[in-house]
Amino acid sequence: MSISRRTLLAAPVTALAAQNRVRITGVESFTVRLPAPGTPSPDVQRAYPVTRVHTDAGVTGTSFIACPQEILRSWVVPTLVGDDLFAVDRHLRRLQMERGESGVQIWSGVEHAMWDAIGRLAGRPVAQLLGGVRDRLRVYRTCVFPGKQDQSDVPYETQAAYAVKLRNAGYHAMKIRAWRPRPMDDADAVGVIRRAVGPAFKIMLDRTAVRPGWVWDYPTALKVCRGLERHNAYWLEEPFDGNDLESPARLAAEVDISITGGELGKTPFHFNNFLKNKTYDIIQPDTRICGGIWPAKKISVLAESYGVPCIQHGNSGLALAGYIQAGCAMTNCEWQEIIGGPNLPDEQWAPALKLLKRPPWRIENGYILLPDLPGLGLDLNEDAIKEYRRA
Amino acid sequence: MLKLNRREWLAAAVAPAMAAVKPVKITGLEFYDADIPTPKDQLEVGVQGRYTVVEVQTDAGVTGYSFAGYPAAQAPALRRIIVGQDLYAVEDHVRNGLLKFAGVEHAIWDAIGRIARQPVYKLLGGASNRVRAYLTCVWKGKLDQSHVPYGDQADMAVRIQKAGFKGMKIRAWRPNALDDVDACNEIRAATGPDFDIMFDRTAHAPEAVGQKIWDYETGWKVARGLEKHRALWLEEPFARDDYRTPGRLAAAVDILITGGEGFLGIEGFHQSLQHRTYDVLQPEGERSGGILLCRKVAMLAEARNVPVILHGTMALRLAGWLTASFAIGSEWQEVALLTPPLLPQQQWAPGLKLLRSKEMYRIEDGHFVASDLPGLGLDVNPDALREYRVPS
Repeated sequence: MSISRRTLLAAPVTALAAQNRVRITGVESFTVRLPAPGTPSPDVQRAYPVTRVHTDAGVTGTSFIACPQEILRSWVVPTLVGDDLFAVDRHLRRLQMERGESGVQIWSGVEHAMWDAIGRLAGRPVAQLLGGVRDRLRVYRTCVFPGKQDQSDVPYETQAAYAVKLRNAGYHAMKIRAWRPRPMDDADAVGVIRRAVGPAFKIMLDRTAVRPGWVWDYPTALKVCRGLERHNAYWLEEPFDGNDLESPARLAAEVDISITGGELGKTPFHFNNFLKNKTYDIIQPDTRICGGIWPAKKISVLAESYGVPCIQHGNSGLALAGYIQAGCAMTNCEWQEIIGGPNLPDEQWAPALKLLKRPPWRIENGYILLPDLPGLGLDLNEDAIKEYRRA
Repeated sequence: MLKLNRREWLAAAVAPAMAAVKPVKITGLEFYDADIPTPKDQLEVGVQGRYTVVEVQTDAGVTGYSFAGYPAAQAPALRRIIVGQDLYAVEDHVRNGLLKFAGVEHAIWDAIGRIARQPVYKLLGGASNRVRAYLTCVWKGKLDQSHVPYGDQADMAVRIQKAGFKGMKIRAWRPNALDDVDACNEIRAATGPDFDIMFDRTAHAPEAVGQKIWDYETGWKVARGLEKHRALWLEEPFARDDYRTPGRLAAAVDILITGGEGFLGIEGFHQSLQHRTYDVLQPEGERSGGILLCRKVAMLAEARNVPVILHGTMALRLAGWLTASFAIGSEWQEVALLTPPLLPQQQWAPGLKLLRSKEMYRIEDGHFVASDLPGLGLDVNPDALREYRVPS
């Protein structure tokens, strides 16, 4: 459309322009591999999945969450290309109908990238478009120490020293695994950590029993909880099978520390079952596993109606961008988990700075700040993404 | 702590960066009426000439509008809540007092959408861009409609049907409850099967004409009767704070039992979902707490597979209700209250003077079609608002 100078001047400055529907023109997912500075460390992330949603408005949305090629080719591209970028809810329902829960679980990279594009088009952070509850989230660091998966070869003192390092860097909380073969050992570890770090620092434990083979019997869980209570731990996560709605509820009613879980929940129905059965004191949806930022907001609202906190399960590195937007749009999400260790979060994502024009987040006094940039808030370096792109 | 080598640091410092997002603050709030000169005979038959206006001003130079307004005397107290605050902190504004003044929340969303240059329904999930309209008709005269011949109700239904609309709702307030079933019979005979008829008992409202809340037996008899004539739903047959009896009726009959317009905030909706009180939840676009509240109610309902259909309103106010309906993907949007024999476009014709566009809403085949304009989708004309503003 061409407008003469006179027409332009005559048009009232406040006149509303109709928006053409913004259409998705392409979706792709690939990996970038980065050189890592300094000595290699197990939690310093060098490879990132990248999912991108291109639009006919000239804006591209990007997430650092994978979308498997199979569903990309068979569903995402044929369904979404040519359709409305903004119709996230409609696309999600269609996916649920045609591909079920497993589809919902693996498309999240696309959903996050769609929100990035929506936010860039709107010129605002995504959190502000969804109700804008807060501009920062308190970080808790989940540390998996190098060594055995069950951490049985990690000295309690190593865990305590890391807690002190976190505290001295301004952080407020740490979560460790409760996987040691003798369950009370983890309670003892908390005792050692508590003595080192003082009373104000929060300590959480994760049994991760949603995975098979890790389910405690009720008396064991009760005993561990009593031990954790003695050392003033904050919560115990997923002591029982993920489909067992009743044992966590029974434990939550009996002990004072919080019993939490739900990271593998996918649909609102799963979370309504947790909430209706009072399964957990705190629910922990994962915005990658539950289908994205928008379904995470739905789950948070559902929890709000039950008066239950919704503290998102976490991630590490640049994938966090969508989590932080979602968390800042939730009335009942106080914390953001950042998984890794034994480095500090900003050391962990240092290699990723090559993909960006500025550091992704500011962390102040243990809070991660919502970036004052549009979309998911990452200032991408397109040349670098090209340079480091692999298959 | 994070270490960058000198080269990386310089590269980061000189690269052209994305512009930082500027915070937007609310700078002003105004309530006033706009009165469009309308012939007296038209006003007498129900044409709407007077509109309440909400203006939310921002330091981004953008003003948000809604037509779900309040008396000007209420403005100072609400200004204290929102002026100087972050435009986008909608959850906070609602908690701080806008829950009871959601027309202001509508105007805030309008400003958010105008700044984003996007329709608000698209920012809240964009589930749909069409919603079927049904028209709620209340005849002038007795509130219980006992003076209205069934034949007049049937004629209006046919008139609505011919205009392309797919459904009509009337009151179920007649003193002899089964009379409304007979009315349904006559309407159904006139419209044939492809038209939806809804009935509204409106809970406590018939107390205004000396009636009581129905007992269960009465509700059951009416529901069975309406079912026979294939009415779509019976709305609020019992008290609003009674979570059990509507659910008992819903379980006993096939016709849908609906309700929810009387709830303020999320709790009543939560309770009615927990008790399976209603087959369909009907949050009110303004009185229940706003656009975001309605969207949130739909999130609660989705987790139980319960549909959400907004309670309605009329004319320019409807923009906020439609925004919520499109965002949710509701099946119907109510238009209320319509004064027969007027059709909606006739009843709200004077309101067009406040817009730059030729029509208020696009209606195709009985469906509202979402506007591609930013905000709530109305092309408000500030000059016209100044012209028709009623001095306070």
